[in-house]
Amino acid sequence: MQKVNYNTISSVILIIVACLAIWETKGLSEMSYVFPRTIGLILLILSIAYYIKSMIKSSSSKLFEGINKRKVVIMSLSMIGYVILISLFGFLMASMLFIGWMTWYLQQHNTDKSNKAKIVHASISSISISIFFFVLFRYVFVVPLPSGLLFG
Amino acid sequence: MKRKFLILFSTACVLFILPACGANADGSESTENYPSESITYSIPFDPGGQSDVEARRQQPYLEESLDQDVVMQYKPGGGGSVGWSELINKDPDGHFISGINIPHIILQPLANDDTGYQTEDIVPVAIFQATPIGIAVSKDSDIESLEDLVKKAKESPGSITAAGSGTYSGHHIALLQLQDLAGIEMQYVPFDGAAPSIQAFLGGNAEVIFGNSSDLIKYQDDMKILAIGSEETFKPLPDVPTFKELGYDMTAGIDRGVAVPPETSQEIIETLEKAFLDILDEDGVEDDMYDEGFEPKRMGHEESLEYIEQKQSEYSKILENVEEN
Amino acid sequence: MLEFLPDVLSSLTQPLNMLLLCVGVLIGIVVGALPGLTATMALALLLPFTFTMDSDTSLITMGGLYIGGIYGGCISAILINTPGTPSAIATTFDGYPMTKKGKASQALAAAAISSGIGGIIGGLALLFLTPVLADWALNFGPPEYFWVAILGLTMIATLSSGSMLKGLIGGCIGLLLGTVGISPVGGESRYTFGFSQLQSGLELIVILIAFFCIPEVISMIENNVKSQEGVKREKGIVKTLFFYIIKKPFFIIRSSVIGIITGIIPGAGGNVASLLSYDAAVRFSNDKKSFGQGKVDGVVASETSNNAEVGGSLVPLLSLGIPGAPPAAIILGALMMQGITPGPDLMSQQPGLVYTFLIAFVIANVVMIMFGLMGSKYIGKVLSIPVSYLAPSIVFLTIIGSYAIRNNFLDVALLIGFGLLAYVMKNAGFNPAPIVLGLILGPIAERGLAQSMLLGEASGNVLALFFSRPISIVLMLLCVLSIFLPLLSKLLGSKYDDSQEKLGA
Repeated sequence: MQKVNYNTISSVILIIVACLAIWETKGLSEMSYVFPRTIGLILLILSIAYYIKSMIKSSSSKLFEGINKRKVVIMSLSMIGYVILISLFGFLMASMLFIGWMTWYLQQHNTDKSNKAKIVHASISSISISIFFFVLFRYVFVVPLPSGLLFG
Repeated sequence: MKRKFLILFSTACVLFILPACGANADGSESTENYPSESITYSIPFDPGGQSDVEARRQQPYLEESLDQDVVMQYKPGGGGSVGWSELINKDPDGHFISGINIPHIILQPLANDDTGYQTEDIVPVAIFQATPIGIAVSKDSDIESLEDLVKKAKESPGSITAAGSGTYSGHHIALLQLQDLAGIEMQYVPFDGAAPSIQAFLGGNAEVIFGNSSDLIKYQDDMKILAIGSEETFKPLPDVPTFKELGYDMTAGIDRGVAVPPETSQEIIETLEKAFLDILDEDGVEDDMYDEGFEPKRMGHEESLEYIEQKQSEYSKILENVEEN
Repeated sequence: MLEFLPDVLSSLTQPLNMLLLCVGVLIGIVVGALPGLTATMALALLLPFTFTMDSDTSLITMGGLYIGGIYGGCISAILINTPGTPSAIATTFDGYPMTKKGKASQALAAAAISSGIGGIIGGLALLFLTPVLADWALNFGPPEYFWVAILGLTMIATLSSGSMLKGLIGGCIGLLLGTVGISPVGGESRYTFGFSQLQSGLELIVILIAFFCIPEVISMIENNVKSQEGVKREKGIVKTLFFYIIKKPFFIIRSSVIGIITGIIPGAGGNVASLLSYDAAVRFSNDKKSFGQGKVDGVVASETSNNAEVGGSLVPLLSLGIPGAPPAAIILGALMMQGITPGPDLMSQQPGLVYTFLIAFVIANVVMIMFGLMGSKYIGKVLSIPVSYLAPSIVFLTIIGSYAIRNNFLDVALLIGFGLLAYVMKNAGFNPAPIVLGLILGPIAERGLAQSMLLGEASGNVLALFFSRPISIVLMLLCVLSIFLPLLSKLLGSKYDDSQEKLGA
């Protein structure tokens, strides 16, 4: 079975996006739909061209080639987790957890340091960076920072 | 190793939760010693705008009379709707107040279903200032009076272009009201704010402009102001007739006030109402307002509620008419 | 102007004013360099501090902040591929590749010098040409805005490295993202999916960080790259760069003029200026391929014009009372707080104040060059921080920035969501630049189109409206040239390119 390449998949996704975009403009007045609908149509035509091109000229290269997928997935999940943590615990706590965890995780392969040193460094950097910038923004620039549902 | 982490964090969590709970218990105690902490005054527009100018004028007086810090917060977006959606979800303890604009808070929920608040959710404390909306033409125009304009519009319906700021905004509704009362039809061209609409008008892209009094005063040498939407003759523009004087039973303007979240207690509302309305009695405040092209207003909580209700029924009728056509 | 000289001198020789000018520039640079905190925000944050100042002191401080803020944006653009302010967007195209080659300090120094030169040219235009330029700005109506936006969109050809088709698709996606929110003319909300916060549209800063910064941070950790070996300093580099830039007067003037014009037109800001100028630099170069690979000209083009734009954006403010860009709107606010209403009469009523401000403006640019050059020695050190500390901290800063821009938690979620999407798209060959371009220009194009249609309906002929206006016709011709010239030059061989080079650069 021939493998479907990523270009074909993305072109199909784009066709769906374009159709959705056009569909969503129904019920709007002329002044509101004229622009998005036109762009939606152009996107649809381009996506179809992209689909045809991907069928004719199937490239052999694969998406995410030569990339440490595990690390990328963990980083992505951590960032999503960070956002959820902010909504629960507020900005300062979530940032300490996130920076601490990421710093520790990214040092995993560093063999020069003992495990204890890694944890200590990660904790120190997470707490000092978070608190420094929290104080700077909250009290010097008076910029509001996100507060959590549980406590802020 | 991971356990150590967990222990550390759970300890940290407890340390943070405890004071937070304590603070909550204090906050909901009573309204007697209101205000017990600093008050956030939210402006749902950009800093430096007209709402901000007014709020900044009030800030020192409020800090003195309420004996607490008043912290300004800006939350622009969606013509104010983002800020007002935030307001109605805040704790009704009087420590978060927000500037409101009429007709914005009436028209936005009427125009779109997903605005994020309903007009009824917003509890007005006071309305203290207004910018009447006026109608003007270029100084080179052959139109000399509102009568000329109506006559010209009747001769060729839909061919006169009128610039204003925004759709379903104060300017738009003023145009719709005038069209309704005069039985005319003009082409409304909405711009992205007052400044771009004035730029377009000065550049000759539109024949007529609906503008805020403060802007009209600023550019009065470049235009002929035909009428103004204030209740009585507008002091800074003594020669300009009001719509009412010209026989069109309408007022047009943007009223500015302050509001609190729903279910705020009556005592808090009264405290704030007094604090805001007293500012108007301070020396020089009214004169400054006139100088900047504003009109001072004095409406308390009850009066503002009635006013908003009356405007709401007026506007929903106009919008229904538009949708039918 | 000379009769006001005593006023100007007495104000400018006050130590407090000079001190605040320097402090303003410095704070502006710091805030501008932080991703998500823009020049507009720097001004808004510090506006309250100016209320108690005299009006000249307040204006001088604000001017310094504005200039510093726009320059500061280039620092994060060059070091971590994240425009600190939207104006620095085109600076990333060559600035970041330079950093990857270990030439960060050269990029930073070039940015400082060219920003300063651009700023001074902008300031001189403001000083001498304000009345002329202001009248000209009024000629920009809805049809012109539409064509400016379309002209900008033809840049997709320059910006889509690799596949043109993917570049065009990216542009369309950006344009669609730009339509989220309440439609500018129709007044109805679109694509909000029930989120009322989306009514005001997607925040440009958030999308910029999502598309430029997040993918870069992920790449940083994925490759396990050792942190860059700091920043190599070469002796005499400032001098070399200075002469390199000075020897290209046409190039500098072209970039500045683009910046000034874009600044004067209300509604098109420094981001459009930097993009247009970068595009022009690529088109008129006979070494097109080296752009995007870390060519210093790319940085110079972008930085010259976005700082020239600062002066331009103040032209309509001082002469008509109409701000030419969002930061100028805040300066308008500052003036109103001082009880001064800028309008057509400002020049005649407050000439001393205006000239003091204008001369301080030019001085601030010189101060900015000095700070920028001094800083470029040390700022690059950021890169020697190990990735395990750097990457989480950058994510942390972008979260602050995305939230602070309008205190909206949804923006934080969108930042991460779009950031991950951008990473996948980048790996699938979709360059982020055309997407962001679409997002920037979409609203300008849509507003222009819809308003032109309304004006056309009133006059009975939409086409006549587009074709009867001189500026509109010129812009249309430029669009056509911009699309077909590259094709033509390919057909005619490289000869055409050479002659273009002589004419343009």
